[in-house]
Amino acid sequence: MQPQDALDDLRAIRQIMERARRASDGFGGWFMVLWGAIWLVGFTGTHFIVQARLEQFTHWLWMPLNILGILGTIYLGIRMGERARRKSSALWGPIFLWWLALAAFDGALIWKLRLYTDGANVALLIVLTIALGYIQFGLFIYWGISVIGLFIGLLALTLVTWLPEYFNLGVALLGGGALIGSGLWFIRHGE
Amino acid sequence: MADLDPVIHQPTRLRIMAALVGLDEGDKADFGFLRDLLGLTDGNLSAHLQRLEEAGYVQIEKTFVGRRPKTWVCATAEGRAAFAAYVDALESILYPK
Repeated sequence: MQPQDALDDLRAIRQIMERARRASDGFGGWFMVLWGAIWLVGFTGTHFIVQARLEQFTHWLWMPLNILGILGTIYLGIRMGERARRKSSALWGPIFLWWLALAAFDGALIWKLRLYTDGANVALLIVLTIALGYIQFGLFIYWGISVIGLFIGLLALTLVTWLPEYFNLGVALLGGGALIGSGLWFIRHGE
Repeated sequence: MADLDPVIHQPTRLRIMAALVGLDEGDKADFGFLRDLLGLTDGNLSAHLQRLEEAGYVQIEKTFVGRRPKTWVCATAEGRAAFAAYVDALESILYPK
């Protein structure tokens, strides 16, 4: 074998190893696209509902979107398990419980502090909690996800401080857009 | 020049081993996942997996999901060692001592 052949083989080996590793996690990108799309539709809709002073109807928008998101997440989780059984998949259980704990924490705060009287506070709390969830999630899976979480958190704080009337629209376009964009990036580079 | 393992040296088997070793130790890849990743036909992949299994480099587990058969493949410790030795041999061609 000539050195050039050995070099070509080593390059091909590295490429396949990387593709296999990423492709087995490839559906992770679809989770982000799914929830990014839900944010895009949900928060854009919320912006216009609030503009029209019809806040009492917000939950009629979010309820079907959340059901769609949960069903989609379950479907993607099943498809992901069909491709590769990874030991790192053992992390998904604790990560799921962490998200559940965050949701319970938010629920308790919303109830105890009576945040439900102000939809804007509830939205801010949920967006910040999800940002925290992404930061933590990324620490276990891939640092890039933590960066997205940090971006969403800073975006939410910036909007609520300086442009509160555009909070929903900003989270929809920039937050949802960031999730969709980075999800597509993961899919493209993983498969 | 270092000896190159003839089982792994075959280009398709080299790619199969690279994909399996790319996953963490103990991780298993679905047959269809491997086939799509490497752009192989079912028959081609089966034949090469059988050769790798005979060499003790991969472990094949056949299960059922409902009524659908499912095949999981993983690199054995021996397969990982053979693959690492093969990569070392390639590197020694590039950087002779």
